[in-house]
Amino acid sequence: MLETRELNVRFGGMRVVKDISLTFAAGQVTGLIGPNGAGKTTLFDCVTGFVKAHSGAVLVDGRSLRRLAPHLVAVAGVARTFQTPRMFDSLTTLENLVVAGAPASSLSSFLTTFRSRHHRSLVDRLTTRAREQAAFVGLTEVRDNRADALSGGQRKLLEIGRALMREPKVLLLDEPVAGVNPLLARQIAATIRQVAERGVAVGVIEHNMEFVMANCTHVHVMAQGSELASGTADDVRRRPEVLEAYLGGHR
Amino acid sequence: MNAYLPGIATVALMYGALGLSLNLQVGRTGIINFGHIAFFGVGVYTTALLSLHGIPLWLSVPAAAVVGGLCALPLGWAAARLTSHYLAIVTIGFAEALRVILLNLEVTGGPSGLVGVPRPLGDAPLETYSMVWLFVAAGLLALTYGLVRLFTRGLLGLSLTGIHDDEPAAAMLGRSVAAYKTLVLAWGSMLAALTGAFYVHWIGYASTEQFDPRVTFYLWAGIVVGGASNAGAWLGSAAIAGLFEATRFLGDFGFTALSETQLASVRWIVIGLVLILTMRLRPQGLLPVRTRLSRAGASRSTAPTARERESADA
Amino acid sequence: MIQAVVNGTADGMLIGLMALGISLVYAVQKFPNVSQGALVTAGAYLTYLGQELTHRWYLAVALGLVLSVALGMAAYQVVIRPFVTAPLMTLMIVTIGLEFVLDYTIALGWGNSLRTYDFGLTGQTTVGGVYLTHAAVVTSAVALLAMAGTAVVLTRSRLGRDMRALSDDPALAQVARVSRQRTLLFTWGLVGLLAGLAGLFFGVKAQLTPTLGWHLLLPSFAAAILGGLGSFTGAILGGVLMGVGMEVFSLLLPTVYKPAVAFVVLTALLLARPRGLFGKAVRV
Repeated sequence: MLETRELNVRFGGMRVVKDISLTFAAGQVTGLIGPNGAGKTTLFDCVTGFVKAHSGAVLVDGRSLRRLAPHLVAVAGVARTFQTPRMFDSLTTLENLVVAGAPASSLSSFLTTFRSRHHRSLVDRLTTRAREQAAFVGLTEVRDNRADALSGGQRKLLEIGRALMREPKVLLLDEPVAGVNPLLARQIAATIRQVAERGVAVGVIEHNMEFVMANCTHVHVMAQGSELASGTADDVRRRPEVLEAYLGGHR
Repeated sequence: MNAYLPGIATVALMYGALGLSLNLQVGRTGIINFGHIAFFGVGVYTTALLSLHGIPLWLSVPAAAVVGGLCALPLGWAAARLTSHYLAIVTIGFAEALRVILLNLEVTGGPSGLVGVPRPLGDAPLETYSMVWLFVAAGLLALTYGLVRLFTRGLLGLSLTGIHDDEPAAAMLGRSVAAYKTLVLAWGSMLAALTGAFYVHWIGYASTEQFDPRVTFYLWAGIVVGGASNAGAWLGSAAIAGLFEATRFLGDFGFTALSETQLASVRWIVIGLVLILTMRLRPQGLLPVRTRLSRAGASRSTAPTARERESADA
Repeated sequence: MIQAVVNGTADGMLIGLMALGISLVYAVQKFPNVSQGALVTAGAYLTYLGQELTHRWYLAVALGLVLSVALGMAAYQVVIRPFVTAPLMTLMIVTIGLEFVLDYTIALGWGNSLRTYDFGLTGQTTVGGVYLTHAAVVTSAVALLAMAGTAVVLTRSRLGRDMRALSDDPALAQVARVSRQRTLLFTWGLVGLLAGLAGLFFGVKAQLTPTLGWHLLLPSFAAAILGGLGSFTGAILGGVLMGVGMEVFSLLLPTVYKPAVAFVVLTALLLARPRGLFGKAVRV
C-alpha cells in the first residue's frame, strides 16, 4: 500500500501540496479527485520522485520513498502512467512491453549482452510475457504496430500494460480514461479492477465522475492543495464542501 | 597517386570508426558530445607512453582502450545531470582542458609530443606497410562496428531506445538514465581510444594536434551529412576525412595556388559551411524528430525533472 | 598578488564584454552563441583593417566598430534568421559552423602571422607599487562605459524594452506587436558592437591571431554562467571574477592551464548552481 503523511510541496514560495496524508490501500481502487489545479498530478509527481517534497513522508509498505529518484521509486514497486501517455515511439507495442519487463539495471543489461544463450532465453521469456500482457490489456491486434501509430486510447492501454509488466505493488494512473471513447473506457475500467483484485494498490486521478463512482471503492478529494474529504464514493459526493469545490461541475 | 591512396584510405577508415563510436552516443542515445576526439587522444597517449616504456602492443592497446573508457566516467556523471546545450559546452571544455594538460606535461613530451612510438612492420618497404595497415584499418572499422552492434542489439539496445525516446517513461520503468548514459559514454569513448591506439602505432608519433577539440566537428559533419545511423555515420566521417586528407597532397600534383596552412583554413571553412548548410536542408534538425532535443522548446512534460523544480525554488 | 588582481581585472573586462554578448543572445534566443568568439576575432581584425586603410587610430577604431556592428547584423540576417524557430541544438551547431567559417576566413585573409595595432598606446605607470599599463586603464574605462551604455539601452530605449519582452515572454511579446525579427537584428548588431570592442581591447594589449576568439570562448562562457545567463550585470561581474580568478590561479600553476581553470569553474557551476550569481532560475 501507498501512504503519504503530511506531505508538503512548494513551488517558488507557494505550497501546492499542503499537509496531505492519504492512503492507497492494497487490493483497492482508490480515486483521487478534485478541481483543476488541486495539486493531484503534483502529488503523483512527488510520490514518484519527479518533484521534491518540502516535508512529510511517502511510504510504500512502510518503506520510505522520500528523496528517491524516479527510477529508484520504480524499483521500490511503484508504477505510474502520465496525463499524456509517454511512449517509446520508435518501438512497437510488443517491444514497449518487452522493454518494460527487461532488467532495469544498466550493468545487468550490459552483462547479459555477452551471454548470448542466457540473453536469448531471456528475450523469449519476455516476449511471451509481453504477448500475454498485450492480450490482458486488449492490444493483441496492434501488437506489432509502432507505438506512434496507436490511437489515444490504445496508448493509454499500452502505458498501463507497460506498468503492469513490472508487477508493481502500487499503480498510479493519471486520468486513464480522459478523452477515451466509452467502450474503451469500460475496457480500461475492467482492466484496472482486475489489477486491484491481484492485490495491487491502485490510485486513480480522474475527472470522469461516472468512472469514479463505478470503479473506486475509496475516494480522496483535494482542492487547492489541501485534502478536502475522504470516504466512499457515495459518501464523498454528498458532502457540501466537495460540491462547492466543484461549483457547478460534474454530475 | 597510387602511393598516396592507401594512406588516405587508412585515415578515412579510422575516422569512420570514430564516427561510429560517436554516433552510438549522439545518434543512438541522444547524448551531445562535442569532446569525443579527446578520448581518441587518450588512446593515442596511453598506448604511446606504455609502449615507449616497453609494454608490448597486445597489452598496451587494450589498456589504452580501457583507460579511454574510464576517463569517460566523470563525463557520464555530468551527462546525466545536464541537458543538451549545457552538456555540449562542458564536453568541449573537457576536451580542451585535456588537450592543454597533455600539451604541457613533461611526461607526455610537452608541445613536441612523443616520438619513436613503435610501428609494427615499421621496417618493411613503404608499399607493404601501407597495404597491410590499410587492411588493419578496415579490420578496426569492422571491429568497432561489431562492438557497437553488440552493445546496441538486444535488451540493452531496447533500453537505450527507450531512454532516447522518453526519459521520464524510462525512469518510471526503473532505468537510471544516469547509469545508462554513463555506460554509453564509456563504451563509445573506449572505442575512440582504441582507434587512437591503432592510429599512433601506424603513424609513429603522438602530438596534441591530432586531437584538437575542433576535430570532433569532422565527425559531427560526417554524422550530419551521412545521417545518424551507423552506416551514415561511418561513411560520412570517412568521406570527409578521406577528402580532407587527400587535399594535403594537392601540392604534389602541381596545385600550388594555396599553401598548406591556407588549405587547412579552407578545410575548416568547408566544415563550417557543411554544418550550416546541412542544418538548413534538414529543417527538423540533426536527429530524427522524435528526439527530446527537438522537443526542447515545446515541453510535453507533465512530470518536470527534479532539477527544474529545485531551481524554481528561488 | 595585487598585481595579479589588477592584471586580471583588465583581462576580466574583456571577458566580461564577451560574456555580456553571450548573455544577450541567450536572453532573447535561449541558446549559447558559440560564434561569439569569431565575432570578437573579427572585431579585432576589422579594426586592424581600418588601420591598414586609414593609418589613423581614431578612424581605424571607428571603422572597425561600424563594421563589427554590420557583421553582427549580417550574421543574424544570413545565418541565424533562417533558424530562429529551429531547435536550440540546431542553432548551437549552426553558430559553431559560423565560428569556423569566420575564424578561418580571417586566417585566410590575414594569415597566421601575428599582427599588431599601431596605436601608440604603450607605456605604463606605477600606482602604489602596482604596474598599470596605459592600455589597460583606457580599455577598462571604455569597457565600463560600454557596459553602462548597454545598461542604458536595455533599460531606457525601446530596443531594450523589446529585448526584455522577448526574453521574458516571447508569446506575450508577439501579442504586444514586438517585431521579433527587428529586435533580434538590432540585438545582434549590439552584440557585434560589444564583440568589436572586445576584439579591439584584445588587440591593444596583445598581438592578433585568428584563434584569439576561440580561445576566449571557454572563459567567457564560464563568466556568463557565473554571473547568471540572462543577467546583464551578472555577466560583467562574472567576467571580472573569471579574469581575476584565472590570473590569480596562474600564480599557482603555469599560465597554460588557464583553459583548464575555466573548464573546472564552468562544470562546477553547471552542476552545483546553474543560475550563477544573479541569474533567474534555469533548467539545466
